[in-house]
Amino acid sequence: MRSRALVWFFAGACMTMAVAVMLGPGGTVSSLVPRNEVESRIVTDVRLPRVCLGFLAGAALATAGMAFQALFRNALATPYTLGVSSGASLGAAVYVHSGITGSLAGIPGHAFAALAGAVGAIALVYAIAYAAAGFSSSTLLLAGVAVSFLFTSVILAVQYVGDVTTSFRIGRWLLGGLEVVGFAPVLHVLPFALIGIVILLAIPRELDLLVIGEESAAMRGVPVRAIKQLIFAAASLMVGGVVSTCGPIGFVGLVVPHIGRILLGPRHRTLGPFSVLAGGAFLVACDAVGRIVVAPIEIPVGIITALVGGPFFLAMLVQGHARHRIRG
Amino acid sequence: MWALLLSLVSGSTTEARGGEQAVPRRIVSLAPSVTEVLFEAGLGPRVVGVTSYCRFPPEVLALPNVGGYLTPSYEALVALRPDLVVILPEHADIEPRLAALRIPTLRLDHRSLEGIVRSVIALGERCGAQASAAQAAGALRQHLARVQQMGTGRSRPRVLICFGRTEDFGRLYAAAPGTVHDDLIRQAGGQNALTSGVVSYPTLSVEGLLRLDPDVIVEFAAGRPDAAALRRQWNALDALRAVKTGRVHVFTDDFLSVPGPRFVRFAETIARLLFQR
Repeated sequence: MRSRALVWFFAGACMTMAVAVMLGPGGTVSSLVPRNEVESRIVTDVRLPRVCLGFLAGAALATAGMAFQALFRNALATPYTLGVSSGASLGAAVYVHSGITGSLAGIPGHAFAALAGAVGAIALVYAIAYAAAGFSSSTLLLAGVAVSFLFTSVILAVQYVGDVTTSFRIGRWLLGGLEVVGFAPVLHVLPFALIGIVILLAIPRELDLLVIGEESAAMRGVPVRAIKQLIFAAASLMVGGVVSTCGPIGFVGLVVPHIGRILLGPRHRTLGPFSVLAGGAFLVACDAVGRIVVAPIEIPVGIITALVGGPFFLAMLVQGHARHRIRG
Repeated sequence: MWALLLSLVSGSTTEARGGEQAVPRRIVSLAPSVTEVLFEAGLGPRVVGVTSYCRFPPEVLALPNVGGYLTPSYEALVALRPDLVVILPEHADIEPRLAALRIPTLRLDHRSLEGIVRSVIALGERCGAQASAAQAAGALRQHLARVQQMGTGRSRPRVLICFGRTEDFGRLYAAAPGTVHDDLIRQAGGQNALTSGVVSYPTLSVEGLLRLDPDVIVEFAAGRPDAAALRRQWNALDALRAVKTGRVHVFTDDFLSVPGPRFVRFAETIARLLFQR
């Protein structure tokens, strides 16, 4: 029954991607086979890479959100709870403030700085959690939140002391977005997303048991500490890879796993694939809306994810599904 | 190794930047000040696309829109088939994407009045319109020379340019040294009341204003409806020298937020306020 639902979700995700590639400004529909050179460049250089990146980013963020919610047994955990996003943003902000401009293989230099910032934040949070209490979940959570606040303050300071150019560029980065050209940024994100997703989908039983409790998981043979470290590393690096290219896109990692729990239940064997498919499709759909609704002006996708996902999520909760919390 | 793979993937897109550059016929502007400079240089008829923030000269309102100033739509850009996109340093993150689309770019710098004048010349050179651009740039330079003459031999008043003021003066932003507004003050013959350039546009409180006590205060309130009402609000701070001597001036013109040719000419208005009393 649940695997049949996943087949439908897979079909829906493919359909969403195809429609997103076909949708043009103002809702015009173009063929998947371009008719002239301009249309061909739009589809192959702009729209297709953007849709692919949207799917990868959405899938990665939703899967990371699902994993963190299980790791911390906390419904409010998101891919950004552990400071990865603020680390990446700080890396990008410092890069912009330094006045360096450059790119490698069509990827702006700030993406590499953001990746360094994300990895730095992950290492810092890990070191604090490890030193303070031997990698307990609550210390990890607190360290992540504290690092996140600290980095956010530094970002604001960098933005405040910067000139107009710096301020604009940092502000634009913080809005997030999927506006890419060519497949190089997609290839930049691909290894992070793919490795992270494969690891997290490979440990559904461990995630299920962690949700019940660490002691109970240990009693059933789960190497709790090693699994926690694996989840932390896989999800954080995956999010770091995504944020370095797309900026901080909110709400996907929070909403999609919860919708999955409501529709399919809390088991990670189905929740994992659902998060990949629905997270990817959700972000692609939100980006298509932001791209066409007031074209050619584009609304950053993070605004759409919150505007669309928020009310939808709340409506589902109000309709009596509130009992499906993180533990099912 | 991954970077190497990436560079192989995009290798075909970056090599288009080299080689002989053809004279651009279809130009897209990514900023309001760039649009104004393009028209100033006599290149208006070649402009085929502008941003949603471009409002001047009025004919640009009829031109195709390529989206926001920092958020252009790459689809709209490609559809216009431009052979030149003119950008500012703010677009540093957009530049590699335009390169990947094999669209040539020209980056201008509007962070000083001289930079604005130089950008007119740079556009003329790039677009094969040296004569009209040199004439326009020459006119702007002559204008600035006349402005500088107005203050020759006179003491330089301490001027504060501010914006974004709350009605109760709880907070306002001021232009520090190093900004285009600071350059406007200096070109007009004044000196910036703010001396530290650590923060480009710091926020000031009433206490900060009283400590600075500038000789002249110029408030930019672009787009606000009633300059006289805003001016009257300053009377609440009658301990300030500029308020006591009637040297607070409020301007609400839209172009004050666009560092283009009109901004350069505005130096004359400031110089008159400083020296023709």
